[in-house]
Amino acid sequence: MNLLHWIGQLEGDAYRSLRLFAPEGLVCATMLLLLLSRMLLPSRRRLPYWLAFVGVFAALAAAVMQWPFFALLPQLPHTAVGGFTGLLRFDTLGLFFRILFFGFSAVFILFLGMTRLPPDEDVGEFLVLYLASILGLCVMASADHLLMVLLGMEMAGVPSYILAGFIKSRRASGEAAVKFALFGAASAGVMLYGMTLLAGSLGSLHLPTMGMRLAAWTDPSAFAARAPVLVLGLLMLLVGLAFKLSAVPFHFWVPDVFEGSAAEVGAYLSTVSKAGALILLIRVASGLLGADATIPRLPDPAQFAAAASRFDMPADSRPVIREGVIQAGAAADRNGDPNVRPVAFARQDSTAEHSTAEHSTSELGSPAQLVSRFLAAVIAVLAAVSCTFGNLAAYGQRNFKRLLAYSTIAHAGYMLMPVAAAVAMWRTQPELARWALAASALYVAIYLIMNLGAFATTAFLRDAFQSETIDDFAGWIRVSPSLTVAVAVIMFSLIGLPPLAGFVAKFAAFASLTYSGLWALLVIGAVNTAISLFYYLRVVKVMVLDAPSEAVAAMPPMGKGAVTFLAVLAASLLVLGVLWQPLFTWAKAAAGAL
Amino acid sequence: MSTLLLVTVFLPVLGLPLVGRRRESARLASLLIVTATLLLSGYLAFAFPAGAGEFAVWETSWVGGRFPGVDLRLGLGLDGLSVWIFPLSSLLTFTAILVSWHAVDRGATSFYRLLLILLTGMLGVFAARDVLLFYVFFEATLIPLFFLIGMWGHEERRYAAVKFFLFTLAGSVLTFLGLLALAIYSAQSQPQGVLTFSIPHLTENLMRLRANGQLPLTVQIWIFLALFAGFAVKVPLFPLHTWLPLAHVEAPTAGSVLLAGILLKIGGYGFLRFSLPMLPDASAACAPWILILAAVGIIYGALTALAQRDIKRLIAYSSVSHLGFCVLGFFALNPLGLHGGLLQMVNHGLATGGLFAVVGMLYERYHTRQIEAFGGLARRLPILACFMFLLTFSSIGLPGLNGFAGEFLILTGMFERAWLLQRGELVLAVAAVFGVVLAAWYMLQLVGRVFFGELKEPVQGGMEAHAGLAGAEHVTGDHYRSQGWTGDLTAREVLALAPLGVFIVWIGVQPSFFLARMTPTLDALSRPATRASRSEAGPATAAAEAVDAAERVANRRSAFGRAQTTEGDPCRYSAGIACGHQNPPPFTD
Repeated sequence: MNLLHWIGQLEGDAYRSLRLFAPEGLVCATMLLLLLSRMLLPSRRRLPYWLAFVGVFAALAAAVMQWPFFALLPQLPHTAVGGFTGLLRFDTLGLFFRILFFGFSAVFILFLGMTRLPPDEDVGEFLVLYLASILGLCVMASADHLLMVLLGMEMAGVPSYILAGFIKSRRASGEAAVKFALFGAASAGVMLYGMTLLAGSLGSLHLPTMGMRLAAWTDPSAFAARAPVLVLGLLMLLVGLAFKLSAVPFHFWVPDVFEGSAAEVGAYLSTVSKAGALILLIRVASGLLGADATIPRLPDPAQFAAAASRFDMPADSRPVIREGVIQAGAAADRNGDPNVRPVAFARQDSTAEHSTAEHSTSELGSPAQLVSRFLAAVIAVLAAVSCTFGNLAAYGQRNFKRLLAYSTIAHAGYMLMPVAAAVAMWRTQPELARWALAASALYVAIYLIMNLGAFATTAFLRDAFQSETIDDFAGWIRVSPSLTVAVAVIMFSLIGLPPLAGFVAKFAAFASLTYSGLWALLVIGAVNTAISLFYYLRVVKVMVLDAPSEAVAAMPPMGKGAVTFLAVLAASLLVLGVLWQPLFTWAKAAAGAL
Repeated sequence: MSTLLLVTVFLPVLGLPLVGRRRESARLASLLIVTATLLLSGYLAFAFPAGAGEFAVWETSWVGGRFPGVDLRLGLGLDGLSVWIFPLSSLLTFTAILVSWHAVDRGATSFYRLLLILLTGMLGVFAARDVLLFYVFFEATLIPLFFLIGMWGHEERRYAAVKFFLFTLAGSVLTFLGLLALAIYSAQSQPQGVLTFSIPHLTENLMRLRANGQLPLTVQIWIFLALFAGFAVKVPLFPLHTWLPLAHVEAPTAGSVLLAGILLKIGGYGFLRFSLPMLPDASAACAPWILILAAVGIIYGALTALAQRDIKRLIAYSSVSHLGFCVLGFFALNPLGLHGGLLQMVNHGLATGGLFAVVGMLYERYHTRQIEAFGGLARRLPILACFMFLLTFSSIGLPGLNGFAGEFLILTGMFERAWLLQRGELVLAVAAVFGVVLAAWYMLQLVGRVFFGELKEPVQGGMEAHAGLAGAEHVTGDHYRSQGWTGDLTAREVLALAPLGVFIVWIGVQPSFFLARMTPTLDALSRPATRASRSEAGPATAAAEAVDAAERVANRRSAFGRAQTTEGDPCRYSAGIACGHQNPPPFTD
C-alpha cells in the first residue's frame, strides 16, 4: 500500500466522516459566531440567546435529517460505521443521544433566556462554554476509541467546571467550581491510568479491536495471568465514568456543586452530562464485549447501493458471507484502516457462539463472558449503592437543590440498572441486551425532561423567593396554582407514578432487569422507589397542603413564561406516560445498531 | 357496548373542562357528569347477562412490537368480579358530590375536578383487562385522594394524607414487582417470549405452566407475598391497617365515602383478580395464615370500634372488621365464601359509604363527631335517623338486608372449610361469628346513644337550632354553614342516600339476582385455587370422598335458590362453558 493511496483513502474517510459530523460542525460555527457577536455587537443583549438557539436548532435539524441514513448503517460494512479512521463510531444509538443533546440544548437555551442567569455582558461566554461542553458530550456519544473517550470527557468536563463557578459574586459558587475541578481532574487521572493498563494488556486503544483481542484469548492460563491487570484497568476506567455519572462512591462532589452553582448549571450537570457518561459506559462495554454481537443481515442490493452512494462508498463493498463469517467486500478491504477491518464481522449470534466461541474455553466461560459478568456485577453494585444511598440521603435535605442533587444520584442508579442487565445478557441474549439498552435510552430521554423541569422549578422559585429552602415554599399553590400543579406532576413523575412518563421509564428499566434475572437489583429498585416517595412527596406536600407564610401570601403570581415552560414540560410527561410507543420504538431502533 | 364502556370510564375526565370556576357551576357540572356516568355504568351493569363470562370487552394495542417485545393492551371489560363494584363507584361518587354540596366552599373547582379524576381512576381499575393498565389506574386513584384528604380534610389532614399515600404506595410498589414477575413467568411459557400483560392471557399462560409443573410453589409464594403486600395494605388486613382510621377521620366526607366504599375494595378485588387465579397453590398454602389475620382483624376491629368516642373513628374501625370478613370469605377458598366475600364488598360499600355520608351530614349540622355530644336525635332529625337505622342494620347483617346475605355466605363458606380440613380453623369461624355479634353491639350502642334517650344537642349548633328549623328550603349554602342550621335532611341529602337504601334492600331480598352475575367468572377464576385447597385436605381417597360428600351437603344446603346441580361433576361450579357442556349456574334469578 503506497503512501499516496493511503492518503487518498484517508481523505475520503475524512470527507465522509465530516459529513456525518455536520451537526457538531454547526455547533462549532455557532460558538465562533457567538464570540464574534460579542466582539462586533456587544450592545445586543438578547442576540447571543438567539444565535445559540438558532445554531443548536440547526444542529438538531441536521442530526434528525441524518437519521434515515443512519438507520441503513447496519446494512453497510463496518467501515461505514467508523468515522475518522475508527476514532468515532457513527451509529443510531449515538445519533439518538446526539439528538437528545441538541434537543435538550434548544429547550435549555430558551430556559436560560427566561431566567437570565448570566449577567448580560457575560451571556456570550456562558453560552460558548455550554456549547463547548455539548460538543464534548457529542464526542462521548460517538467515541469508539479510548483516546476519544478521554477527549470527550475532558471537552465536556472542563467547560462545566467553569460553568459551576460562573456566579462570581458567590463564594459557594467558587468553592463548587474548585471542588468540581479537583474531583474531575483526579478521576480523569485515575481513568487515564486505567486506560493505559487496558491498552497495555490488550494492545490497542480502539475499543472493538480490544474486544476482538479479548475474545481471542482462548487459553485460560494466559487469561488468568493477565486478568488482574485487566480487572484493575476496567475498575479504574469505571471510576472516571462513575464520577461523571455521579454514581456512589464517586458522588461526593454532587451535593456541594449543585448547591453552590446556579440551578441552571445544575440542570445541565444533572441531565445531559449524565446522559453522556451513560452512553460512554455503553460504548466502552459494547466495544469490549464485541460490538457486533448481532446477527448480521445481508442488505438488499438496491437499497445498499443507494445507501452506499450517499456515503461515497463503492457499491461493490457489499459484504459477503464466507464460512459463517461475514466479511467486507473487496473494496471495503482496501478502504479500511487496519485497526478497523478485522474486527468488523466476527459473527457471534447465539447459534455460532456455542460452536465457535465457546468450545475452547474453560468451565468458567470465555474471557469475554467473564468480563461481561464482571462488568455487569460492578455496574449492578454501583446501581444498587447509588440508588439506595441517593434516596436515603435525599430524605433529610432541606435545601431543594441539595435534595435534587441526591435525587439525581439515585436516578443515576436507576439509569445504570438496564445497562447492567444489558451487559449481563450481552453474550448470551443479544436481542434482549439491545432491548435493555433501548430501555436505558428511554429512561435517559424521559429523565432529561423530568430533571430539567425540577431544576427549572428551583430556578424560578429562587428568582421569586431568593431562597432555596423547601419549607419557604409552603402554600405556594395559593399564589400560583398552575405552576404548582406542574411541579407536582414533575415530582410524581420523578417518583415513577403512572400515568406519567417516569413510570414508563422505570417500567422499562425494571422489565429489562427481569429479563436478565437480576432479581436482587429489581427488588432494590422497587424498595428504593418506595423510599424516594418520602422526599418527593414532601415537596408536594409543602407546596400544596401547608398553610402559606405571610411572605408567600403577599407574593405576586409567577410570570407567564415560567408557568408555560413548566406546564409544557409537565404536559409532555403526561403525554409520554400514555403514548410512549413512538419514543420506545425509536429507542429500540437506535439500540438495534449495536 | 364496548364503546359504551370506554366512554363511561373516561367520561368524568372528558368532562373536566366543564367544571367551571364558580362554586355553583362547578358542583352542578360535576353532578351532571357523574349522573351521566352513573346512568351509563348502571346500564352496563344491568345489561350484563346472567351467566356471561365477559362483557363489553374493548381492546386495542398500546405498546407492542416484535420479539423481544412487550404486548401491552389498552383493554377494558366487565366480568363477574367487576360488574357490581363498577357501577357502585359511580353511585358513591354521586353521593359524595351531593354531600359535599355545601361542605366544600374553598377551592371547589379543584375539589370537584379531583373527584372526577378519582372516578375515572376507580372505574378504570375495575374495568382494566391489562395488568399495567390496572396498575396505572390503581396509582391514578392515589393522587386525587391524597389531595382530597390533604387539602379539604380536618385538623390532622396533612399527616393523614401523607401516611395514607406512603402506606399505599409502598405496598403497591411491591405489588408491581409481583405483577411484573407474573408477566415474566408467563412470557417463558410462550414460544416467542412476548411479555404479555393482558390479564386473560396471563391467567391462561400461568395455568398452562402450572399444569406442566413449571410454576413451583416457592416461586408462587414469593410472588404471592409481593402481591399481598400491596393488596393487604389496601384492604387493609390487620397489622397493616393503621393508616385507615386516621385517613378516614381526617378525610372530608366525600373522601371517606369513596375511600371506604370503593378504594378499600381494590385490595380484595386484587386478591380475586390476581392472587387466586394466577397463583392458586400459593393461595391455598398461605390461606391459613391469611385467615388468621382476617379473623384477628375482625375481632380487633370490632373491639377497637367499641372503645371509640368519635363516630367516624368507630365506623372506620368497623371497616377493618368488615373487610376482615371479605378476606375471610375469599380465603375460605370455596364457592360459598368467595361469593359471600365479593357480595360483602358491595354491601360494605353501600352501608359504610352511606354511614360516612350520614356522619358527614351530622358534622355539617353540629361541627362535632363526639358520640357523647349527641342524644335523642331521632326526634329532631327523623329522616336522617331512618337512614341511619337502615344503614346500621345493613352493616350488622339484619336478615332481609344485604349484609345478611353476604355474611351468611361467608360464614357458611368458612364453616364448610373448617369442617372439611379439620385443622382447627373452626376457631376462626367461631371468632368470625363473634365478630358479627360485636358488630351488632357497637353499632346498636352508637345508634342508641346518638338517636335515642334524652335530646342532647351540641351547644355549638344548638343555639340557632330553632331558628333554622323553620324554612329548610330557603336556606342557602353560606347561610347554612354560618347559621348552624340543624334541620332534617333536605331533598338533596335524601337524594344522596336514597339510592344506597334501595340497593341495600334489593340485595337483601333478592341476592340471587346479583350473585348470578358473579358466578361464572368467580368459579372460573377460583377453580384452581379451590381445587388446590381441597387437595390439601389429606391423602386422596378417604378425604376426597369426604370432600365430595360434604360438598353435596353444602350444595343442598346452600341458600338463595341455588339450582339443582349434577352431583359429582367436576364442572359443577362452572358455568358449563369452560367445560364444554351446559350446566345451570348455581345461582339463578
